[in-house]
Amino acid sequence: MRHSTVMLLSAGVFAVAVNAAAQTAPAGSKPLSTRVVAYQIDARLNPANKTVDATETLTYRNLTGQPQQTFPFHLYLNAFQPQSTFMTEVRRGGTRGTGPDQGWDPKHYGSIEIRSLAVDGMGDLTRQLQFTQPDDHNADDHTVVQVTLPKPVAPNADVTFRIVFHDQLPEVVERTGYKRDFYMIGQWFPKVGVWWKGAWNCHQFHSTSEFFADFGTFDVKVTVPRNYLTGAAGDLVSQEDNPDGTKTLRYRSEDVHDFSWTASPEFTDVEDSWEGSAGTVKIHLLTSPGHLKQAQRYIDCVKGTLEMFQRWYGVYPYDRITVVDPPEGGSDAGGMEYPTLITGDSGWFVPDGLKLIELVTEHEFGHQYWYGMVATNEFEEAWLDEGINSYTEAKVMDALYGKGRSAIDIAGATIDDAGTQRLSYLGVADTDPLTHFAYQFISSSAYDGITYGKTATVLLTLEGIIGEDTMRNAMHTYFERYKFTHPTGTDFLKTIEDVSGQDLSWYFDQAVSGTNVLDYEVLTIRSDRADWYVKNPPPEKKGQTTYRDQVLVHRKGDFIFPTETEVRFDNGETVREKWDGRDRWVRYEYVKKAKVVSAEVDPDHKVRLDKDFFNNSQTADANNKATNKLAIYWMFLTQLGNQLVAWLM
Amino acid sequence: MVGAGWSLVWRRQRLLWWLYLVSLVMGWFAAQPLVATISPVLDHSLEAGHLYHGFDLATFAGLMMNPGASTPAPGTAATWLGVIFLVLMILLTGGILRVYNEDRTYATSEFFGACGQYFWRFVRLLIFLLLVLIAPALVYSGSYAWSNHLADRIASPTPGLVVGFGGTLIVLFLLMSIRLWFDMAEVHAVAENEYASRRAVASAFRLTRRNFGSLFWMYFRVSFLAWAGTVLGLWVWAKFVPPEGLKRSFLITQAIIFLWILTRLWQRASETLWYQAHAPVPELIPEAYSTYQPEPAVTEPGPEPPPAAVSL
Repeated sequence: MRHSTVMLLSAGVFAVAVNAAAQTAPAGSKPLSTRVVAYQIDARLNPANKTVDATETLTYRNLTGQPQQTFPFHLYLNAFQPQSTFMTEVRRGGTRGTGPDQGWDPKHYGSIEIRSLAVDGMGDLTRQLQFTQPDDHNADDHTVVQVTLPKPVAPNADVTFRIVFHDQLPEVVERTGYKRDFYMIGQWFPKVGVWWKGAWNCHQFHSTSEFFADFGTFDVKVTVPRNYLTGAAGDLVSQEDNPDGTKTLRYRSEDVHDFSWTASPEFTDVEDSWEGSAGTVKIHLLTSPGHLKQAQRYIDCVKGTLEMFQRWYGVYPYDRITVVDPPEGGSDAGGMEYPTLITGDSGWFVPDGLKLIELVTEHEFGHQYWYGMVATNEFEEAWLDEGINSYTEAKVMDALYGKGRSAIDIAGATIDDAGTQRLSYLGVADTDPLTHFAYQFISSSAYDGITYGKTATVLLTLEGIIGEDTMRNAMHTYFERYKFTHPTGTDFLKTIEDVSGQDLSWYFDQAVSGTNVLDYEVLTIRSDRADWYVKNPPPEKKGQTTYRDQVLVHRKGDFIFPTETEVRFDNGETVREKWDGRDRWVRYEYVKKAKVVSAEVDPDHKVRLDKDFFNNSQTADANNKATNKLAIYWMFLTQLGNQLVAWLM
Repeated sequence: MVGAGWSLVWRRQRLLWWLYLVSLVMGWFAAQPLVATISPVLDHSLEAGHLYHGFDLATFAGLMMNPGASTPAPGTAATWLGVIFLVLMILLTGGILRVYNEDRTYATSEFFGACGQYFWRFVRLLIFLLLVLIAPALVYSGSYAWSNHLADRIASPTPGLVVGFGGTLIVLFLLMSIRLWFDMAEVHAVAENEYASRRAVASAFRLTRRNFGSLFWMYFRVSFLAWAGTVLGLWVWAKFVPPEGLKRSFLITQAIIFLWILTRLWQRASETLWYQAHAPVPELIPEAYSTYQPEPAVTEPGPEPPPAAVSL
């Protein structure tokens, strides 16, 4: 209502009015972000041909400090075409689900076509539109378009674009599209780039990268068949039925940088709420057929995650969170984050001990902080959103579901989230630094392993250096300092140094910017009798015979890390030795009336980044119990296999 | 017939123990490459505790990714031993069926003589079986495709699941029926000394078709016992055996294997007895083969048969 009033009072100039409305916060509250953009979109879904027709009014406030004449726009849906950069990368490196990397199918085709673009005061500029390929100069890639205005927009002035566009949705690829009558409409409208570090930042759509946009407001109307249930990244402002059997829902969202929505006649809306410091947060879970029994797991996870994030990192300022549960066959739409709307992943049967639903939900919710509010550049520094989010995921999952078993706990077989993060890093430990642009990794698995797994493992290891409480404090400070802005990796690392009061460049240079592998090993342990040279020495007697004990620790990898070694003796004595790790090896020697029983590098298991945990310790005596256990399992499996083969006779 | 089959298996229990022993030895051989591979990594490492005191999947996956432990040797050995086991079963099945058919003690040389007598016939029967198995494979792929098609077109997972589950049940039924058919072909080949596999398959097909209900019920009951016992064993293992209970783990897993061997022999024995009770009178009994001399139900103690190294 206030929105309309402001429009009418704004000197009768519609464009200015829209901008004013968009830039004005609700009564009693002030904007949380610097609102650069204000989008008004009126969209109609056409289920028959899987298209969306829409008009978009974008008011852009030029806060770049200089006149701007050229404006780039993302046209992400054009990625879903055979010769796009995205598809080229997908063919090379694969994608999630059974996607177009398996072969081109016309159902994977998607497009966004700007049918007209006009600028208030400058007329129709549709003919001025030009595709551009800032990343790879692939002329067939149409995911970025730019328009040059007849005259520049002055600093602090507004410019209003009026765009008519048409989306052809693909069957879900990379989180966007349809599956039967389920629609996940993401990255669906022409979105202006970000003026960042003195230039336009508007990358093409890549298979491994995500998104980057300015904060602002969204006022979006969606028209869908009347029997459809919708969810969107905004508060539902109004809803009205149309004579043609459709209905129009109007959503409004502020201090966000993207807007997505979903629709399906098959959804069941499960509602709940959570009381946070900023007020009540409404939880909408849109579940698909056959998945309703998983609803409580989703809800419990969202509530638990909200609680932990508020306690550890900061207040969740929005009044809503919508979780979309894609239907069977539509899981390619699952596991995606948009401001105040996330997509989960479940199935008709997911055992309680397999925390898949919780892992995905927690992760995507975490992006409300690390992407949604702390809006880093996902194209260029993906580790700042996916990586930090994977780290907080490990922390929250452990807190909610138990350390050591927060990912899988089935029939005695367990693994926690931190364990899965480290595993994904092990296979690609030395391929790329965290700081590579998302689309410049050696492979998509390296992107995943490094960006998600290594970052989480680097930060878990950092906890061991500065302490868990300090690390949590640093994360909280980082969130408070940079929420609703676009911080960089330097900002993040500097915050940690500020809070911890330590110069951590030695660690960051290797772990963040470098590709050195961390691997320490106990090379040898031995206990020689001190009287080895005596002929016919007395028989060895525990506690009386003197030994020269030696422990040799070796730095196998190039990553230099100060470490601690615990040496145990057979008289129960334990010694801890510290080593700066600069040399390649260190030898510890003792003369004692005791033999060395074992030596272990990193006895407190703080250095998660160590590539090989098995060589971190060595015992004097062999213990083959684990080997025997695995042998029994293997023996059983092979015998069972033999019986199955013998069924042929 | 199932009860009589059980009695026969029990009377000729040496077959059971020997077969289990063969399985155990082959399992042991299969485990050795794994032990040789992982032992250097685990036996002197404290990290191994995560596998012994529980089963930490991160540690296990780390072990599999460890350059020292990630060799294909255990898999290769298991595959080859599987092939050897199959060949061994082709060889032994003829002897086993002869023992059940005649229900008497066989000397080792006599047993292996019978094994060799049927080996190539059973190889041919296996080839026939593989050809017939194309049918359930087609049914499976059809139901899988239909299930996927439904899952792709209908929002509810139920129709796809019903088709998938139904298809699996049908395939399972077909597999059991085919196995039963070929079991009867093998029994027929031994009982009638049928050399022509094609005739054995055809004759067994007619016999099985005419008596399908009773034969299938006989076969299914014993199969069900094997499945139920396996599920029970796995449940007990997961529920009641602590991670460190290696002996109990070994005993339970071996009990499951023993149950599989036992129930398979039970099926064989029941089928043999059923055949003896129901088989049509053969038109011609070859003179070259007439060794069948059923033992009396109750025998007086008499002189022992000539000693043999191992008797079966």
